[in-house]
Amino acid sequence: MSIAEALPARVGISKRSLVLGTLFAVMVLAGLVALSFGAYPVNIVRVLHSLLTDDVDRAGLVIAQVRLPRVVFGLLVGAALGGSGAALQVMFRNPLADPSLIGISSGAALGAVSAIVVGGTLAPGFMAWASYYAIPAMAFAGAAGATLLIVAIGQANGRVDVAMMLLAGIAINAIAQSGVGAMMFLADDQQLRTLTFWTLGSLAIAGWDALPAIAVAILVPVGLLAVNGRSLNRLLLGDIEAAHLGVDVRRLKRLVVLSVALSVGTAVSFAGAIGFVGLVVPHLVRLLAGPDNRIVVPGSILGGAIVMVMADLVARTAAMPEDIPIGLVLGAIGGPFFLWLLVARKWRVL
Amino acid sequence: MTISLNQVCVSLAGRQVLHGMDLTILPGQVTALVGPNGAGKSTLLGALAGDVPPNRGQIFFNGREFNTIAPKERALMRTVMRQSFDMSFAFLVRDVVEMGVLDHVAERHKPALVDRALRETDMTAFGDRQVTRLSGGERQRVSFARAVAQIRSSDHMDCARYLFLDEPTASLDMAYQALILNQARAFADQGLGVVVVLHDLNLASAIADRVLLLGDGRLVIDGRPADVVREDILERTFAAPVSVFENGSARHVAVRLGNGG
Repeated sequence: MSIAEALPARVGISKRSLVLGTLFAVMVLAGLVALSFGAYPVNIVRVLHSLLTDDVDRAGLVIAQVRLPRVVFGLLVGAALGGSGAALQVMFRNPLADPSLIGISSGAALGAVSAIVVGGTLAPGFMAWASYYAIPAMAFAGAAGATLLIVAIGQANGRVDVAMMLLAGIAINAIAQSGVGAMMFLADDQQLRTLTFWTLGSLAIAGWDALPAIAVAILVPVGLLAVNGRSLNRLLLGDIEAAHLGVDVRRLKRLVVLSVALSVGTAVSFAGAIGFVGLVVPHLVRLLAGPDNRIVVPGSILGGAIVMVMADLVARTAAMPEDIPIGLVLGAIGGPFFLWLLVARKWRVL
Repeated sequence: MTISLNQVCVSLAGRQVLHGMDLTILPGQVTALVGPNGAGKSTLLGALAGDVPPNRGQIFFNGREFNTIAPKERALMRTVMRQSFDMSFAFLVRDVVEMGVLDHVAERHKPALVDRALRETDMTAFGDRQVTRLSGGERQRVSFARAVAQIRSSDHMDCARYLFLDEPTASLDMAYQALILNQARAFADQGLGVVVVLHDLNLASAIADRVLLLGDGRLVIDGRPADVVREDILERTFAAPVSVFENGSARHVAVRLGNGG
């Protein structure tokens, strides 16, 4: 029995507001905790003080210039991966879909890496000027290409062929990874340093200048996914059934593909290919609140943000002053969780 | 409020399944689609529901070409129940029934509509069970409850309303076969047009006002059950020896087994 079943069906406030409100509060708390820990510890009262005032003492500077952009960036990347994972699982009607598992993240990484190496070699002057746009644009193109390929291969006559989807994802991952490998082979030393973090993921490049654009490119698409929860529920019944209930199925699927490609493409182009958040977080939200996508999609956006900020806190404090790649932290937590999930399904615990 | 088909042709996977259908379907009636396997019954129902667009000809709902109507408005005009549904997420039965409640219904009215649909389909006891743990027949009943929720959410609305049922009794026991068909009959009496694909000619002749017998993607005969359920017609269309027994107004059909006939 899940916690959701234990809740009374009609308490004064809806289950939706309860779950989402709690997750939002936890997200704020996680953000504050992340702001307070680090090489220079600041207690939470000071954190609040410096967030709410303009004092430019040392703690205020550390928080405003170093930690706050990184925490906001982490929240955004986590929101993109969590929300996209939840939406992909609906579109493929399978709880195993995840942007990194089916090749969308590595498609984005290939796009970003190609922009750096090929663009940087062919037109260094142009790239120096355009890299802010060219890298995310290529990451989006890579993510969109991989998503469309998966949709084309994994679906036939409105039915999802799960084996085909996962096999195609493995193939796309292999192609993209060998592409990334080839780019690394071609890269010069300086490019190589820039590239290494794409393979493991990191929130270290966060700074205020790119954040507004990142926020728009992530929050708009995941927001669109979140408000379509009811249509996504109906899509789970099947394409034809959803159409019978008034869902414009082609439009909804187009929305999912574009939103996933834009948000994951943006997240990957600034933070590298980060796995498992999109797989694990929607599962946790379903365990907590049941499968209703009016809760699962926004809940996974909030939950992804929480997980990402907490994982980054581990990444930057576990081996201070070194920054461990966040991909390693998430792999160490997400990998065992995924195995547990497979075993639990095998024994029909879930 | 009629549906009319004008020279409708449908092909699936390169094979012509329906050949130039001309038909008018009326509200307030139960129309049964019967015929041998592969005759095009489900395809015709799918074309009416908008699932498979005709590659020639048009379908009009109340004079409007169905293809040009927006999905949300289509959902008001026709409710469809297919045999069963796949679901790999553990929704409760009442959640699935709630998916049938259309979007114009205010949030606060939804629970009452769901309860009513569950009650009318004798599914109240199943409301809080997970659909992933139900049998095929139980899921079929969930589909019907969802269809009832959809119909009930367009009650009191001034639009064409149709109910399309594809083999609604396929995996159900006798009690629920009767429940679903009696409900369908009641919807027709309330003014809905009901179109139902049935394999069982006994059920078709018991429930329908009008029977359309299909063979090889064409209409063989269109009439009252007494005009269609006849030994000569059925033997020719099904290519099998058939006996029809009349019992008052009811007709019972049986295929004769063995070589003797």
